[in-house]
Amino acid sequence: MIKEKLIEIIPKAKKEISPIVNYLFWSAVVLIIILIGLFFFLQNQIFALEKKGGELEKKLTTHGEQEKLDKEIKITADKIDIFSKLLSEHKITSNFFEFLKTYCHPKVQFFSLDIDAKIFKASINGKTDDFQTLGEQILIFKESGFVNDLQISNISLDRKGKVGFELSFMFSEKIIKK
Amino acid sequence: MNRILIITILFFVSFLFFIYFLFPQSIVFEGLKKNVLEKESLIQKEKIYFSNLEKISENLKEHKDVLEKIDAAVPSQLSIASLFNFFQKKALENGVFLKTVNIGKTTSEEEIVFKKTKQTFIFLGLSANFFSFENFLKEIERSSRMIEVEKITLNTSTENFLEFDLLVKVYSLDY
Repeated sequence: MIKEKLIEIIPKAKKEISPIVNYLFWSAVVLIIILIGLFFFLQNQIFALEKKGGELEKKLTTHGEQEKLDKEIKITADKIDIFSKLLSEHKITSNFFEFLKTYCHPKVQFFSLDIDAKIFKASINGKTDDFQTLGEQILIFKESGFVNDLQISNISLDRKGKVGFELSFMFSEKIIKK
Repeated sequence: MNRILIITILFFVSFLFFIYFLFPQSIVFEGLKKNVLEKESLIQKEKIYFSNLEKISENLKEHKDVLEKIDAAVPSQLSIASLFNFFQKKALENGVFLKTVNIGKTTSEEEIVFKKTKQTFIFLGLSANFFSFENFLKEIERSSRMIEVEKITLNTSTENFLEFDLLVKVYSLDY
């Protein structure tokens, strides 16, 4: 009985914890602390980025004056573009009269004239002294280099022997274009 | 033995924490970072664009007179009354009798370059001698307004007096 009590009084030797287990334990603790720290750090960063993103979005959508300026410049650019194109295609139909003055036979009289500047077509009613003059007029037009598809019609003779005629032809756009 | 169990639990919890909290959080973070960088780059580009616009605007202000001429040639709002007045004035100046003025149809150009351009056709009935008419024609064609003569019909009424019908086209912008 006494022997048994003696044995209990003597402290038991502490069990030694293996250094590897110890190392692993503290590693696990440090790891979990790092992970929690990272979590809060990321959450903080996300909050900051969301705030910054909102501010940038606001900056991107509100331009006011600049947008007005942008619109104005685009309209002006359009106008310049349209104007330059219109100017390059602008027709000076009155130049056709210069052409007529240059290539009209002195003995030919014109009574009526139709000019269609859109399709570059002209029709002329006139009178000449004789058929020879009419032939010369046709030749002058043909040799001018500005006349195509020349057609003559409604040829008539009046009591005084004068020859009435109608000429229609396509003329070169060079005549009425700048 | 107890410690080994705690270690196992700690690692397992760490693993779960990483999978269910940290990893999704990092994906959200990366996405937001990318988004902010894109927006910053956009703002930078816009800044350059608007700075260029301001330079262009300043440049345009230096050529205000040219722009005014373009506005006069191809106005944004076509005033028919002012146009008729213009024809009447030019006719009077050149000794041409303006008998009739009629407005024709207004059409939009089909060509893409001219998609915002409107054409208005005007018929003019005139009476004059040839030289007066020729001067009138030259003046309207060379005026600051963009006027194109589409058709001319000439008929002799008396020796010195001729009848003219003109179909003219004027442009305006649809802004």
